[in-house]
Amino acid sequence: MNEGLQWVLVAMALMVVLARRRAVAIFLVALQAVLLATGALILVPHRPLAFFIASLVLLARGVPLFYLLAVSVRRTREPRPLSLQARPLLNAGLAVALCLATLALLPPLGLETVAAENASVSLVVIGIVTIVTRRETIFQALGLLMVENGVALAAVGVPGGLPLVVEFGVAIDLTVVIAVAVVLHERIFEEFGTGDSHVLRSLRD
Amino acid sequence: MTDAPTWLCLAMLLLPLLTAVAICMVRPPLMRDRVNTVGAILTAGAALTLAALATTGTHGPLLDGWLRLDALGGPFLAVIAVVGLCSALVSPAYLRTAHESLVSEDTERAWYYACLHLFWVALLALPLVDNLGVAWVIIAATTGVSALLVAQSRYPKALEAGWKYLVLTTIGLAVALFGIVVVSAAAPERGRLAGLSWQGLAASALHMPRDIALVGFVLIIAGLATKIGWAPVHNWLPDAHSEAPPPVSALLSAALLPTVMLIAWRTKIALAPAVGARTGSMLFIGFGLVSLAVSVPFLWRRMAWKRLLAYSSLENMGMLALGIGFGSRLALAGVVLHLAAHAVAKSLGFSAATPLFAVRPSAKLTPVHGLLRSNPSLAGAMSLSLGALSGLPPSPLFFSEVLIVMGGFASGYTTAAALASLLLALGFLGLARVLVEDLMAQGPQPGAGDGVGRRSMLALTIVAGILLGSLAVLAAFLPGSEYVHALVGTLP
Repeated sequence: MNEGLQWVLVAMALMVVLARRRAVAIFLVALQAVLLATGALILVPHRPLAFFIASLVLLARGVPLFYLLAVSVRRTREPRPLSLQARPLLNAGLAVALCLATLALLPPLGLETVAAENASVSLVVIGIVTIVTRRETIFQALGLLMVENGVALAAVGVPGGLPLVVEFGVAIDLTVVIAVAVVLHERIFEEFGTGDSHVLRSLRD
Repeated sequence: MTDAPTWLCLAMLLLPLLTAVAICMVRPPLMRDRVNTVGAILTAGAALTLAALATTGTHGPLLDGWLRLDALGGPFLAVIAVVGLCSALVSPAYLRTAHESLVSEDTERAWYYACLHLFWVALLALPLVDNLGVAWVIIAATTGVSALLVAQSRYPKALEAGWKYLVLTTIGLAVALFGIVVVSAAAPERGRLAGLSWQGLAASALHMPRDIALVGFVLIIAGLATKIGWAPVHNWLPDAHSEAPPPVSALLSAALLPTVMLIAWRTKIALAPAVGARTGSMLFIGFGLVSLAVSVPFLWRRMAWKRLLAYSSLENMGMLALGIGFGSRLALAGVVLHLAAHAVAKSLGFSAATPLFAVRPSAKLTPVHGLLRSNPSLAGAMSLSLGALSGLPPSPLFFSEVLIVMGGFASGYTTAAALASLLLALGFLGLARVLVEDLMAQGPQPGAGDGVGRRSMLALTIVAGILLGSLAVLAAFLPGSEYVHALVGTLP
C-alpha cells in the first residue's frame, strides 16, 4: 500500500485522540476505514481474487458499524460536554510517545514493507491509547475500531493476505462486537444519564 | 460425510442452534424452559459421545477438514458438555429469581436462552476446530453473546462488568489477531486456509524465521491470555464472573477460560518447531506463576461468594498453564484431571449461587456466613465446592496439583515447581479459612424461606460428589494410562 496513505491513516487516528465531538470522531474513523479499504483495492491487480473479495469485505463492514454508532450518538446526547474534561494535547503526546517507544522496541514483523509495519503498529497503539484516555464509551468503541483497522492494515501488508474465511469472520465478529457495544452504551446512558465511563468504577477489590 | 463422528459432530453443532430458534418461536415461559432442557440434554449427549470417541484415538479430519477429533480435544469437549448441561438445567431456577433484564420481561427468557445456547455451541466447536484463524473467529464470536449475558441483569454493576469484559477481551483478541497476521506473513503458504491448520502451521513453522515466529507467537499467547484471564491481564475476570447470572458464570469460568487455553496450547505445539518447545513452555510457566501469585492475596480476603470463586478461577487457570508449560507425562495427567475436577467443583459452586441469593440477597455483595443451620444442603454444596477447589484431600484437585508439581520437578523446572507449591499452599490456607470460619459456622436458626432450593441442591451435590470421587479414583490410573501416553505423543 502507498506509504503516504498509511501515514494519513495514522494522522487520522491521532485526530480522533484530539477530537472533541463524538460525531467528528466517528466521521474520522469511518473515513479511515474507507481509505484503508481503498488502499487495499488499489493493490488488487497484483494480488489473487480472494484479496479482492477481502478488500470489498473490508469496505462493506464499515457501513453497518458507522451507521450504528451515528444513530446511537444521536439517541444519547450528553447533558454536558465531556470532552472539556479531557486533555487532548497531552493524550496525543502520550500516543505519539508510546508509538515511538513500541516501534523502537518491536523487532521486524516480516510484513511487505517497514512502513506497513510501523503504520499498523501505530494504529493499534493509538487505538489502545484512545480506549484508555477517553472517558466516553463511544470513543472507547471507536478505539476498538482503530485497533482493528491497524490489524487490517497489517493483513493488507501480508503478500497473500489472510484467508478469505478468516476475513469474513473478522468482519462479522467486529460488527457483532460494535453492535453489543452500542447496546451496552445506550443502557449505560439510560442507567446513569451519561456515556462517561468514569461512572463505571464501582467494581474494585 | 457419513461416518458416526461426522453425524455426531453435526448434531452437536446444530442442536443448540435449533434449540435457540425454537425457544424464540414458542411463547409460554414454561414451554421455553422445556425446550431448553430437552435441547441441552440432546446436545450434551452428542458432545459426550464425541468426547468418548476422541479419548479412544485420533479420528482425523471431519467435515472436509474444518474439524478434527483428537485426544487433546476430548477432555475439553466433555467438560464443555457437562458444564453447559448444568448451566442450561439450572437456568430456569435463575430466571424465576431474575427481576430485571436488558430486555423486556416478555422477551427476556427467549433472549437469555438464545444467547446461552449460542455461547455454548461456540464453545463446543472450539476443541474440534482444526485451524488457528477459524478458532480466533469463534473465540471472538463468544465475546458478543457472553458480554450481553454478563450484563443481562441490567444492574449498574452488571453493565460495568459487561462493558469491561467487552472492551478488554476485544483488545486482547485484536492483539492475538495481529500475531496471527505476523505468523501468516512468516509462513511459506500465505493466504490459504490450510496454512493456518494445526498441521499446516507445524509444517510451516519449520521454515519460519525464528525471530518473526517468536513475535507472532508471543502476540497470540499474550492476546489470548486476556480471554483466558491469566494475570496480569485478568482485570475483567472477577467483575464478569461476579456480576453475570450464575449459570453464565459457570460457563465462563469452567468452560470458556480452559477452552481458549486449549487454543493457546495448540498454538504452542504447532509453532514449537520455530520458537522452540522450551521457549513456549517458559511463557506458559510465566503466566501460570504470575496468575497464582496474583490470586493468592485475594483468596485470603473475605469477599462475596461469586467473587471468591472468580479469584479461584484465576488460581486454577494459572495451575493449568503451569501443567501445560511443564509438559511431562505427570504434568499432563494433572492438567486433564485438574480441568475436569475444576469444572465439576466450579459448576456446583456457581449453581449454588442462585438459591444462595434467594435466601441471602446480601451475599451478592458481602461474604456469606453461617448457613449450616438454616440451609444445610446449600451449605453442603458450597462446602463441597470450596473444599474441592481449595485442594483439600481427597479432592481430585489435590491429586491434580500434586501431579502437576511433580511433573514440574520431573521435567527440570525445579524453581517454578517449588514456587508453585508454596503459592498453592498459601491459596489452600486462604480458602480453607473461608470454609471453616464462614461456611461451617453454625449461624442463625432457619427462618421463613430459608429452605429455597433444598432438594435440587441436595441432588446436585450428590451428583457432583460422585463425579469428584470418581475423578479422585481416576488420579491413580491416569498418569500410566494409554490416553496420557497418546497425549504425550502429540507433543513436540
